[in-house]
Amino acid sequence: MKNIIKILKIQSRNERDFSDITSQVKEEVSRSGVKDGVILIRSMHTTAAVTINENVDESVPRDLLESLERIAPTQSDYRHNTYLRFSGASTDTGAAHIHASLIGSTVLLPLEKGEIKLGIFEGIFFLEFSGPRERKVLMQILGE
Amino acid sequence: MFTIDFHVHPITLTEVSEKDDKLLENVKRVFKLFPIVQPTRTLIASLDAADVDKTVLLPIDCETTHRCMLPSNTIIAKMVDQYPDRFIGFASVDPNKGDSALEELDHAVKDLKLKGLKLYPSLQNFYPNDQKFYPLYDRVEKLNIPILFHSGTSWGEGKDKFNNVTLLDDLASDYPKLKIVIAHFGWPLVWETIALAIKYDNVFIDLSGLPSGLGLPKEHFELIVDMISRQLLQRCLADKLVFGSDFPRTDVNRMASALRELSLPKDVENKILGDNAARILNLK
Repeated sequence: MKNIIKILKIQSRNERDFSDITSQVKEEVSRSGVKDGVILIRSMHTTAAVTINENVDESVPRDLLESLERIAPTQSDYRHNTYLRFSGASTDTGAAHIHASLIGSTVLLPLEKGEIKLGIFEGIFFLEFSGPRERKVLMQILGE
Repeated sequence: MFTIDFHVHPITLTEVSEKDDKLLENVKRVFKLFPIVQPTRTLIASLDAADVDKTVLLPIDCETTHRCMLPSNTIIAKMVDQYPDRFIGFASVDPNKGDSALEELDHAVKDLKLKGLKLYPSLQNFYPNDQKFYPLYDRVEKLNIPILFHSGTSWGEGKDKFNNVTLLDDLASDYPKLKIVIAHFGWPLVWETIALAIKYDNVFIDLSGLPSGLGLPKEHFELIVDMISRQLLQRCLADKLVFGSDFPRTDVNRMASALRELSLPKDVENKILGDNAARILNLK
């Protein structure tokens, strides 16, 4: 069985942002030579997330970001929004951590005959909640 | 009109740390910042998101006290060469080096084309009003560049007593042509800082950082406005305040957004976001 780990770098452009990373993930699957198995995709950050959702209408990820903002507004009172001695910086990421956890850091997808098993309108999205940053998404491809 | 971030430490940029293999270790040890390294394009993206045209890159020369530069003037000049439309480079010299500090400053301004001087009294271990450093100020005045003093509390190494803004009273008085910028609103001596800015034509205040300890830039700026009142800010300080982020301790975009969210009169906001800085820097 093959076990391949790759890192995908993403440069976000705004404080809150989304990127459709489906094509980059498909390329890595193709390059791996794995036909049947699974791919695990995970954000390596506590203020960013990955998810599966519709990739046809851009309103969907926008709605998602806006809905998260309504659930946990950025401009609100979080204990975390303070000077943190361990990092030597003030942080304003109280809401970003909550948004990231609500969406989740990881998705697991099946691979069959070299293809990622996605629904017809499904794409793989990276969601940024504390950009702009260069971010890392880990992909682990397991299978034959 | 330019929008200018007057206060950026480029110490966690990939392209800067690649030029000094000890930099990140020194950032942790001396600047007391856990370095999350990002490529320069991330800073540029943040400037773009914030509609900030230019940013002042600051080095700190603390060789005598901490055996390092954060980073060197040469590295700052190289970064400016890479992004001449976006970056304005300042120099830093170690005042404790005496005459060689003067030579380094000459080289930084005349050869490296750096546009101002950054001093950080608590990291450099000196009282800014000590007359033994007056030859340095003589040279700064002759070169016609501004000085940005770290002021107030410091999260890096060293004692805050060196950063007390009232020490700058002597300097502002003895060097009326020297443009002095007090960083971080002199926090927590905000009223002393205001008094100097109102008293002296040559004293300015940068709004960088979140020294209050509040993490949300909007909360920090609102605290300042609550403390000093909108009338005082708009009537007495509109020509004296300059926007700064203090990147990487804060984010440029979120600091600029928070300042705009104060909904100050547009002419006052424009002065703070760029016009005052452009005047200090002699930008056309």
